[in-house]
Amino acid sequence: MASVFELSEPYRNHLVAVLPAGRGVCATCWRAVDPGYRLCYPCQVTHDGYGGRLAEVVVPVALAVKRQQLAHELWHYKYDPDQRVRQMLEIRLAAVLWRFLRQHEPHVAAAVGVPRFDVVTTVPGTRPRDDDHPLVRIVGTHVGQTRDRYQPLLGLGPDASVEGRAVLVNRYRAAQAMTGHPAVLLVDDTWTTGGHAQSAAIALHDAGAASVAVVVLGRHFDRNFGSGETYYQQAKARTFSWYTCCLELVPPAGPTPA
Amino acid sequence: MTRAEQAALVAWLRRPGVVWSAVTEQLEECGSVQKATAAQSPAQGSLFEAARTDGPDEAARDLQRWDRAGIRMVCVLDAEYPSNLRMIHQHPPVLFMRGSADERDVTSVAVVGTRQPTPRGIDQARQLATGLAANGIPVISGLAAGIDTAAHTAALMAGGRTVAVIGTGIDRVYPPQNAGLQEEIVAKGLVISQFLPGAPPTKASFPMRNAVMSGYALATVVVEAADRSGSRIQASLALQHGRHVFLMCSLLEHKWARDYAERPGVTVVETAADVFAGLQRLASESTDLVWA
Repeated sequence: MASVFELSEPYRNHLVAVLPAGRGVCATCWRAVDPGYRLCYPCQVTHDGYGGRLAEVVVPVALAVKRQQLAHELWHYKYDPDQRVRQMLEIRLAAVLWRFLRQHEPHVAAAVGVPRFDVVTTVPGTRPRDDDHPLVRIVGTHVGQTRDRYQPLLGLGPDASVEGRAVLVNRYRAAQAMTGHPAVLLVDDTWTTGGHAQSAAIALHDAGAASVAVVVLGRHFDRNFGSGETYYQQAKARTFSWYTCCLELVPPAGPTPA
Repeated sequence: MTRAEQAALVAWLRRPGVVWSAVTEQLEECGSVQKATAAQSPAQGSLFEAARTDGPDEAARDLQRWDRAGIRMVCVLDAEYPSNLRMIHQHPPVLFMRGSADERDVTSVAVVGTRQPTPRGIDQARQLATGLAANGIPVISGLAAGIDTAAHTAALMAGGRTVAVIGTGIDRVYPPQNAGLQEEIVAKGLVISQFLPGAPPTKASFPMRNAVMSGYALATVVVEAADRSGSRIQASLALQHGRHVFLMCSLLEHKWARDYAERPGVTVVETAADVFAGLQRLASESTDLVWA
């Protein structure tokens, strides 16, 4: 038996949470944004184009800092050629997700105005694979918090093979109409610009979901991009805790990154 | 991997300004040296093509020379690349090896400490390595003077397996007095270097070596280490890799060790039996996850 606590606890040594909501932080994806702007440019463009069809809230467990451990694991759990590596990372990341959702799913649900999510699903992978996507196993099998509510709601749409990270209405397609208008928790591993997760949220809304919240294990982060280093240093100074998520964090009193 | 691919990779790593971590990423993303090198230099033509068509270039000649010296190059795309090391973000694109690989190394323990140990530290390192070896746990260390030497030597004397992860090219010896020990480890265990053969010791190479040692082993034991030491760096790196760190209780006289002892993934130990007991849980590869 692998214990969620034992596998997830060492992540406290290297996880870095996103900065709290507020000035200088994108209200959707939590990256650094110029003061005076509520959304970063990609999120603003997406919002202008799709508005209410997008996810109501996006919650990253932590920053997936380029060339650091979480970003490494989020790639290697899917693509490492060594099956042992993939399997061990899959279980560890499942422990991280379980630990996070056990503590914070009520906060994510409250952010979209529901007491609990009716259904949990994943953003489908767009690279061809011989086996099930490991994120499906994480959400549908390993994580006790989600396995009973997991449904494979989405399949690939006609634009699934379009390269890049653009939001595309036809990147994914709901398997069927959701007549019960459920509240959906949509899980993805990495958020870069949100193109895939938001395309999935659009497909879910269009198929009848009453609300869609996205939880991602890692929010991709490049310290060398824009004011990334300033943001990173501020975020790193706030010790990661399993007991606080970005929806609860109080903005710092000091200046926020430019 | 073909010899032409190996030569192209060595040539790539020797290019001025090449960032090795980026090489690792490119290799893994592209899945082959040919594709990765082509992606690197589309305007100049593929390095792979150059290495393949330019005859016995320098890299190919070096590979032949390394072969004759019993040095083999293992690339991140090779099945022989250690799986523990694949799991950490600081895994290098290539390893150079002399000696024999062994599946037991997935549950190995790195034993590290100061180059200027006290007699107590030496005794602790010996007892630890002997106890680990008696339990079939390979002992990993850095072939440095002091604690590293004591750990390697004790493991060998106990008939156990030991692996040295060194901070120079694999055809060099540092410190020179460990030349005999290095050859004994080659004969009975494994010596690993992440640096091209011929690479001298530098200020940067030892912390890089510590990252690989942390990644190769399942856990790290710090025996005796001052505030500013490579061993403390390795403890820090191990925690950044999500690996477990054992601290010998005598280290608690240092503030840094008392601070580390409060962190998750750190256990204070007194004996090899304590480390062995801790390893039993760490070595579990169960896929049956429970809320506990």
